[in-house]
Amino acid sequence: MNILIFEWGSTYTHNDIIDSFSRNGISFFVVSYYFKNIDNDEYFIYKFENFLNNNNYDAVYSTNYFSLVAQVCHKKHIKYISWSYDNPLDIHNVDDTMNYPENYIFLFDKIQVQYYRNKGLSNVYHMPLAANPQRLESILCSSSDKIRYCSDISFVGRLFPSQHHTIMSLLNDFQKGYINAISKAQMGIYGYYMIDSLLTEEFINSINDYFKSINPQSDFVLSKEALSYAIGSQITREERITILKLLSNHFHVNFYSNEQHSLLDKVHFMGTAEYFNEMPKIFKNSRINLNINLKISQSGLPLRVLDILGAGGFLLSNYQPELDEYFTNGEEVVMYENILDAYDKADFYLKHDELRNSIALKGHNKVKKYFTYDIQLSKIFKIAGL
Amino acid sequence: MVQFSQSTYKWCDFIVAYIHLAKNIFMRLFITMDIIILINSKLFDYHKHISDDFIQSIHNVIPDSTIKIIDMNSNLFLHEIFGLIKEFKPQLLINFDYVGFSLHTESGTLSLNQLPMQCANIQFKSKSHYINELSFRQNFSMYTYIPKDENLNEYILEFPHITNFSYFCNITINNLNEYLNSKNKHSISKWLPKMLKDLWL
Repeated sequence: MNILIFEWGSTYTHNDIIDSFSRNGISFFVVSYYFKNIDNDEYFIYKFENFLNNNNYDAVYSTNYFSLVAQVCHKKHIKYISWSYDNPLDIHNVDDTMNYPENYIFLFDKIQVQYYRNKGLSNVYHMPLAANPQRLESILCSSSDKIRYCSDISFVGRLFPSQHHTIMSLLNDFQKGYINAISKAQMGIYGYYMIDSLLTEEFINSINDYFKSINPQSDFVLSKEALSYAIGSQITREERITILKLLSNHFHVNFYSNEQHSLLDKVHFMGTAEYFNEMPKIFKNSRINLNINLKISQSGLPLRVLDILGAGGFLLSNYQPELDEYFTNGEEVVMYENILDAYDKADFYLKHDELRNSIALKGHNKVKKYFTYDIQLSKIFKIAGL
Repeated sequence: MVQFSQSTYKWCDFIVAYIHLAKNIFMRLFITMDIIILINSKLFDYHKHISDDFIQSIHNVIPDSTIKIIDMNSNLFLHEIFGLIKEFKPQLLINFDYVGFSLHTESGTLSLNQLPMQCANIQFKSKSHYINELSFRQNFSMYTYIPKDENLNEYILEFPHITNFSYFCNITINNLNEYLNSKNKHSISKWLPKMLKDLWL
């Protein structure tokens, strides 16, 4: 098998994926490019076609899906395998390229898969993400690492600043009230994202009509997807701030992010964490590792969950259907069902070291057995007929 | 066969040259470009001289270009330098002797690979000076230009992860001092359109 790997920017999983390719004797060549415009880039198309013309590849692989890569593969009749850790996908127009027969699009969230299947796309498949436990186990912590990263609770993640405030400032009172109400309702619900069904076509049209009435010169149109993402991001932001605030009032909490917040005055802000070498040390040295999902991601296991478990860390996560499906709650992972439950569980497991360590070990072993890159990639290649 | 007089041929040449000149003038009127040149005046004492030549040559070819020189030997931290480049949003970045390759991501890849721009890496010395820099994977929006007295095929074979190699005008490792001591910017001016064509600019 000979694969052309396309990399855009610097993807987290790239090194682990080429590690798996090498281990399994898969021949590959990596090319990278940073799109100026992900929908239209003639230089990219010309150059990428040349790569495919000049060599005999069985397929192109990329982490995350790129319309322009799909276009070139379609023209050259070469299989295009994409495995995304983004949810939602960064695509402007679903219909344009996703239904090409050369595409094999793997998504980690079952509901996201169903969304595209309902649009008539049969080449979209479900594939949970993976971890590289072998590499993660080999990362050793020095005594200074243990001091630096030691914490009762750690959270690695963004606060999701969004367009929410900008959008809200342009709405009328009824529209603001409606969005506030549905956001508040969604905040307490895990495993189902009801915002999409509540943003009706009628409501979106009323927003755009109102925009137009207050600014007739503007041709800006707000899409349902953009509004949904803005709301989902805002809810996630508020939830993360609330949980971190609550926990930091009682425990030592380390927060690794690119953004501080004035409400999180008792949290120990640590700056950003480097993915490959630093994050595993954080997970190994924190007694509890938090996962608080982006609300829009309704079902799947985000990469962070597998990173934590793969490194042998103890995971305390919001309820997520596929986490419940693949792992046993209370034995391999621990899930909370609301913000107060998060506090209660954090408090309990910080007082029960042996139980906590046992759960972390079982979660880690589960990942080693079922969620490695070798295992998932072999399933991907089988589905793609390689 | 129809034979034309010498004067007729001279007129034809004149007309073709005139059309070519008119086309260039016309094109120059409408092309604008934001360009960054990365140098390190401490590590390479000739960078300042050559960057000045480049600026003049670029302005000859693209009068309406905005050129910023960033010296990697400034007091700025590396992430601040990267921030400057990102903020300027250049269409083209010219990277002398790979000095910009000291900008890395957390995973050790080139930070310049994270930017939506074309990039010309111009090397003025022999391969042995850049073994570390040449080990990095470059975006295929980057072109790497080597001196004319280096063996291009050797580079292509030894560094297959670098997808675009070509020669840099007539300045070679051996005649670099001669070039620096002369006032001859002609080489760069003649070569620039070829570089812009390579990079689809």
